[in-house]
Amino acid sequence: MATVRYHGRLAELTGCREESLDGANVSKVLDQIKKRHGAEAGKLAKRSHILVDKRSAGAEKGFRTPVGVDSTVEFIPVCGGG
Amino acid sequence: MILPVYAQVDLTNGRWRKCTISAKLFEQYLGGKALGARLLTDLTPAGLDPLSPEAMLIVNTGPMNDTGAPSSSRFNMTFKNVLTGGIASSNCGGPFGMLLKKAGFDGLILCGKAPELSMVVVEDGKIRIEPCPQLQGLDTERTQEELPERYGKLVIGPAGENGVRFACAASGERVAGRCGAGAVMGSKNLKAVIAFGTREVVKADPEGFEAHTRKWVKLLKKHPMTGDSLPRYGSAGLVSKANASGVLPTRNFTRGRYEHYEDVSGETLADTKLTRNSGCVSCPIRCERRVKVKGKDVKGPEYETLGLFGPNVENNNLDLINELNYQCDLLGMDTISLAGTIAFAMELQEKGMGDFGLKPDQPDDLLRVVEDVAYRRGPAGELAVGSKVLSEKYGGADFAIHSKGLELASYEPRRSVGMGLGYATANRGGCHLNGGYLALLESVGVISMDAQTPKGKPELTVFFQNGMEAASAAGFCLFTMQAMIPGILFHFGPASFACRAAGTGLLAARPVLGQIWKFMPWAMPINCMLVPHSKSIALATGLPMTIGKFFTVGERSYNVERLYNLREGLTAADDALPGRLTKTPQDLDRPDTVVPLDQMLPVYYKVRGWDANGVPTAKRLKHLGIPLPKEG
Repeated sequence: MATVRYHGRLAELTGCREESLDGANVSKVLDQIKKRHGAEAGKLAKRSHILVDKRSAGAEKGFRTPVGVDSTVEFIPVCGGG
Repeated sequence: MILPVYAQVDLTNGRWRKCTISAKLFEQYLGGKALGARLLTDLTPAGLDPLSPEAMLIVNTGPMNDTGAPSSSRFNMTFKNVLTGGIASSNCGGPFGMLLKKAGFDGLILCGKAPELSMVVVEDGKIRIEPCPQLQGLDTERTQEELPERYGKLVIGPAGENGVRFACAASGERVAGRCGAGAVMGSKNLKAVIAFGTREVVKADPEGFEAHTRKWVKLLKKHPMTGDSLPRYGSAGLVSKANASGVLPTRNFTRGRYEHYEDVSGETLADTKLTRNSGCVSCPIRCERRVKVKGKDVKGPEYETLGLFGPNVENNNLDLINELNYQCDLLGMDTISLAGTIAFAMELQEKGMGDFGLKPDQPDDLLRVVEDVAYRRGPAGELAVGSKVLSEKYGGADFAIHSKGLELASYEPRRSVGMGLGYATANRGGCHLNGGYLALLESVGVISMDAQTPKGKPELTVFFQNGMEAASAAGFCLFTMQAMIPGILFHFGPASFACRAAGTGLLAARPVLGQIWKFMPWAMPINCMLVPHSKSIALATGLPMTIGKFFTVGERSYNVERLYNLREGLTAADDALPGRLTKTPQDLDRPDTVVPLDQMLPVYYKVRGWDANGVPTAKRLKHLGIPLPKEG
């Protein structure tokens, strides 16, 4: 099972900072989050920066980015600033 | 049309006179940094020492200050840059600008040197200079407490009085941080400028303006960036993504990731230290963090301070960063330049190239170091000159992290190469905002863009540099520009096809973005809610402003600033970054993790309409209505 780490509001919504989830790719992991923590958590996770083993899913294959059993998937809120 | 009224004040003899900005200059430059650059160029000769009595300090507003438009309380300070020798503009969201306008002036042009420590008092269309020896040595907070309550205040702390080259000026808890504005005030024996008045801004179309403002505020509040993430996390929220993207400067920019980043992240700040969020006058975004320092409710650190007083000096103590941030504000110093200089000095010391009495293994000692710098005492007092001058004395130019002399902000550009180009070309030196802030597109924002490719980056850099320059000239906060990114992308998420396509599409648009400036302002003869700034300006001032004209103000300003730099002896060779960032890959397994400046600069110059030496061509200057510089 992959290690999934939540940051910011998603950690509040899921009630944990880290957990183990199944899923062969990002999309499957998102399904698991929605199933376990509800639609709002699922929606917020989808809108986050998603990192698989420290690489941005946006720069890889998006929601189809593969997730291995030893992978770490992180969900970081999108922020702005300067 | 009501034209801006300025006052020219000679601090040496206390004389002052009113002057009105011409309609042509107003339309071409609006105000703020753009008009400041034009006036500084016209009113001062080349080659002045920035800290000499003859040097000039322009403190001005933009046409939108005090109109009630969203996020429009920013005022500006323009002067010869103490750290670079080129142009300096430093922007602040404190209440002084609004009160200056209420006092009857859109700007002050200050020159000379007061015979003793003094303050300029601006009140209902009149100006006087008063000695204030009782304020000597007071910090920025105490100084403001000692001054009459109802006035808008712009003050310096001990660092400005002591000539620290990156000293800042403060208004309320906000600072005009960069380039040494506080040192310039100190060199003129100017402890404070205070303003009070009751003048109301007269708008050209009050009803239209109110309706447009309501619509714009609604848009900002609804937008995921300005209505949710910035109020929730402030700019501090960038720490985690910056770390993930490899752009969080660590150990004097040797790395872009910090193992203890979570200890200093915006989420941790929000969870454990935040008391509430706050904001500038007239701002619906409210990105300011409030934290407790020794039981006192104070302004919290921005992302820049978190990054540079955190990972960049390998400090993961968030309480300590909050305290350092507050201490710098009290003493009156720019946290970016100071923290950057400390990181450089730590490396010099570690390599045995100098001894500044620093104790990198004892982060708490940073509080003592900061104080020593402000009072220029002991070995650490030498840091008050900044990284560039320090490297000229002790060596280490390859790892003195500055551009033109101004220390870089908290984005490690080897993993965001467009940001690297922005740092190198920013007129005031290593600034992320003046540089176009491409990190938002490449590495920390919602759009998924290839951060390593040099292709398309020059075109995007020019576009965003010009846009932000114009927003600043009008008096708007640059965060309002972030709402230009379509809100729908946030709903899809950065991993979505839409966000990835947006990144690819922006890079693919480079042929259009590269040519568009030749056809401005006619290429965009409209107003729309994608860039609400231009219509807001038109309704408030009566100027025939369009999006095209708005961006052209920015382009014009960028060129005038560039001409000022060239006049003061800066050249294309100064559009540079330290060797660490251009020669040494951040990731040794990936040779492309350097900033390929040599590939991007020629394209950047071409897009700007400059020659191969980075000099604006007569053709482009004529197009922009800028007078050709005098020969010699």
